[in-house]
Amino acid sequence: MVGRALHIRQVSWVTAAAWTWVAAVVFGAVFASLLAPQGSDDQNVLAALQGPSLQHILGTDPLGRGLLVRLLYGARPTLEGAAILVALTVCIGGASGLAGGYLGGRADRALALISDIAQSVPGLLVGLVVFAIFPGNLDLVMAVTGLFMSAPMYRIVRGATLTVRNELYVTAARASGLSHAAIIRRHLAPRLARVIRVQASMMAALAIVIEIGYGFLGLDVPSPDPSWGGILANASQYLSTDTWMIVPPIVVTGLTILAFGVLGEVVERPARRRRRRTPSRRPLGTAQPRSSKSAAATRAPADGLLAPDVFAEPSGVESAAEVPASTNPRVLLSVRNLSIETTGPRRLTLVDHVGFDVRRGEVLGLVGETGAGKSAVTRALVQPARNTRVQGSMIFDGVDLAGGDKRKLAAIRGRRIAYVGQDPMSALDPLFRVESQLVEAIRTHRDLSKREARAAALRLLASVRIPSPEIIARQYPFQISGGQAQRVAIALALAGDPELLIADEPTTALDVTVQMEVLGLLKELQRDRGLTILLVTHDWGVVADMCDRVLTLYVGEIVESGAVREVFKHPAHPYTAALRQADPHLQAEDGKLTFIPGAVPAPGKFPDGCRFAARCPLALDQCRAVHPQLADLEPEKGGHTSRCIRANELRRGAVHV
Amino acid sequence: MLRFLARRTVMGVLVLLVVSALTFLLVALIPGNAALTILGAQATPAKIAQLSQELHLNEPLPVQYWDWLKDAVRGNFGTSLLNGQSVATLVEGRLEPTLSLVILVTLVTVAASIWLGVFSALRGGWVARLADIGGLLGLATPGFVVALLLIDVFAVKLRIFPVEGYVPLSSGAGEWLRSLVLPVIAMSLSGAAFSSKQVRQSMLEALDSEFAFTLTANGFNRRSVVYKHALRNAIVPALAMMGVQLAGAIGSVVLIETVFGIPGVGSLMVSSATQADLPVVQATALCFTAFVVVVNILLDLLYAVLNPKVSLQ
Repeated sequence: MVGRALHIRQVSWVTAAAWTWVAAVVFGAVFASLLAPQGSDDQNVLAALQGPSLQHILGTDPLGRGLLVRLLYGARPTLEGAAILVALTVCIGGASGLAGGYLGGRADRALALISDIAQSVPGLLVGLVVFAIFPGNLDLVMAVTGLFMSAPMYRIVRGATLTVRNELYVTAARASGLSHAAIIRRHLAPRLARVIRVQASMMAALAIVIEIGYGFLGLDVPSPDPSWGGILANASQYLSTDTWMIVPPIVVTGLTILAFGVLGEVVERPARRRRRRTPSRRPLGTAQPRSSKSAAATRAPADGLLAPDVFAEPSGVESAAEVPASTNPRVLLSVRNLSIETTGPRRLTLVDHVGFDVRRGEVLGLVGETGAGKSAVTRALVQPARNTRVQGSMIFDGVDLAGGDKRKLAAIRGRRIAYVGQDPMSALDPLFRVESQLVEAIRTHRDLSKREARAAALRLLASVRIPSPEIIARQYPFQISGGQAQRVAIALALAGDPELLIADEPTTALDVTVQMEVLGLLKELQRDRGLTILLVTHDWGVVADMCDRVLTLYVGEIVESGAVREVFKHPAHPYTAALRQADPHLQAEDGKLTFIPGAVPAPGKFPDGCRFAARCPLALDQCRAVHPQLADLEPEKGGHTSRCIRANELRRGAVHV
Repeated sequence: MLRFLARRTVMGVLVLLVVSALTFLLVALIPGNAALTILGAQATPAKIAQLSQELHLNEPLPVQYWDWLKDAVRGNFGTSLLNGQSVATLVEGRLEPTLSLVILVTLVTVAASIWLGVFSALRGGWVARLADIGGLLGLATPGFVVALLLIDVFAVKLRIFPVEGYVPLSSGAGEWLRSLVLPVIAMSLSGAAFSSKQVRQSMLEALDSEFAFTLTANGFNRRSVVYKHALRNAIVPALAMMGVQLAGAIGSVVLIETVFGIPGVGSLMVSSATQADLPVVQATALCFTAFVVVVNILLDLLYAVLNPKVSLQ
């Protein structure tokens, strides 16, 4: 506990400056009589309304009193008033927030109601009412104002309390008999301390603004005592003639309010990095060059290990020069050398020189664990994420999707390429009805009247097998189930009658039975419309059901690709083989649950050799030394590639995983 | 929707009751003879008796309040201690300028924060920096200070706007607006800067959201995704914050009216507070609270209209 309290965090210079200023102001206010023993009312009419001078650093007021001195003494009512207000908001807001959040139920509701009422009353007005009845009693005024301004503190503390209370370790603590008080002390207090501190600073800034307002109206201290608000009021009378006088109080009050604002984390610190709106693109030519040696070497010998010199290259680069984008008319999408890395302080490679073709009419599966880069690939096809850099080419019917010609891309989206995502509940705009979004999709791609579009929308809903489309059409997304929402999302995607559908784990978020239905729907749609589907999944059962060919991704690279039958019967990469074995659906009844030992290497920490070597039962020394290339194992038949140097052994069954 | 409205109205009434009760509570807390304390130097036995009568000070607290409430509901808010005028008439005569201010400030704050927030979310870069700095300045400079500076620059030096005073609407819309420009700016500045940051944040989140991606991916127009879908989703959470900002802005009316010499309810409240004219103070406090309640209800209505989850659940 002590150790944690002394933990030194990185403090930005702005925060440090804020603390320093606050400390200076407090110091000045407390020790004013020591710093300026002449008092706040040391008049000298001859020196009235002067600018800064040696004797009076900040100038003088109409009665010749030094402004710096007046500000020093004048800080007292402001700080005192602010302290009282903050103390009250912390006590009342904090206590009620704690009580409401922790106890819940009726107590919570009652407190919420009181808080709602309190925050509908502007604090300044309450203060005026109190001043009217108890003139000159600043402390009471600030206390009552604080009472009415406790609402934000209440809300924040309640929120933090609820968060902590619902965490499992608190439930565990209760179950093991820990009393409420102990839980509050041990678990809640540390979390709340910071939250309260931050909110209290924010409140202090507001309190100062309010107190200065009272001072401006002459209500807080009897004259000739100074207050910051009073000095401002005084200066405002001489604004046009002696403008300097208003500058020091504005600066001093402004800095003080700002300082508390910084500590209240209302003010963003300038260290925040700015995020780019569009991903940057580097021209293709900067891809690493390759020797021509590998041209011959990527064809594998029929037997045994692939020749060692194949793997002489330090990184698995398939340069554009080597394997150009396919011009085969049967190929709809040709991806070459696709690399995606994050921009920002740490460059992480999400996708590392991936290349594949998607043939017309097929269902191509993209398989891999979480973090393998599958979603990065598919989303880059649509619109690369904001903080990433995309290199390589993604040629769709002659247009490079990575090219950036906005108009061409806009013409393709929806009309030729469409997208269905993983979470149906967040795929649609929650504020518009299903019908409205479908109609908009339809009218974007086709020239129809609203009425025609509405009819088309209903037909679209029927084609994705939604029962009673008229009813669903009028619903909002939050009113329909996950399965229905996913069908709607599919309908939305098909509104433009696309050729290629990118389906990014479309069934992952759905119940098992619904999964079957949606997959069946996709298959049907593929057949009826001749759709080409790029299907991302981590479920081999789905691959078996749906896909014609499959690519396995591991840590941003393709490690195997081929026809589904081939890959299933004769996996050519240990990772694929291991994944198949670890498939929960295929586990033997009472056998141990097979899994792949080890962990996926963290991005940025890729090993030199094969990235799977650490977890691979077949790994050799050579595997750890040299990063293997993707090699075509059956160039004549075309299309079973693997990145494993022992691929053929594996296929033949000479070794097992 | 109706149930929602009814609930908000009941809440509003509750708030008004609380504020009205506040005065009585506070008066009851005055130690010793309340009338004597209130009248202070002006106290004479006759005045003390009259004030005690006016404020029903001799009766128990709940009865006092009930008497007042009965009158108030019928529009009788007592008489001013200073000049004997009917409080209701006094306040009524000053409603127009304050109402104008409140309405304009609400409109300007909402519009400016949305426009600024969206603009800085889309353009980023220097616009966002500008909005940040504006927010900083708005936070650090109380409304009345801004008012002072605006007057000095635009009224005294540049003579574009009147230095003070209020031109009633009946004298011409142009002049009416001209007399309100500086006060409205002074009052809206910090609220708008603050809320625009929230709008910017929400807008960025909406543009980053999964549905924005899905709609873009499936070919929706960029304009539609940004201004029809993302914007609406961004405004909804920002509205809640705006309510709080506006409450504060409405409170600052009292100071602004004082600075600009506008003969509204706010300056009435200040003058009556400094002179302990309690019935007037109470009525004006209620008036402002009513403004805040109405503005909040309107914002809630807007929220309910934009967010189907509220009206349908």
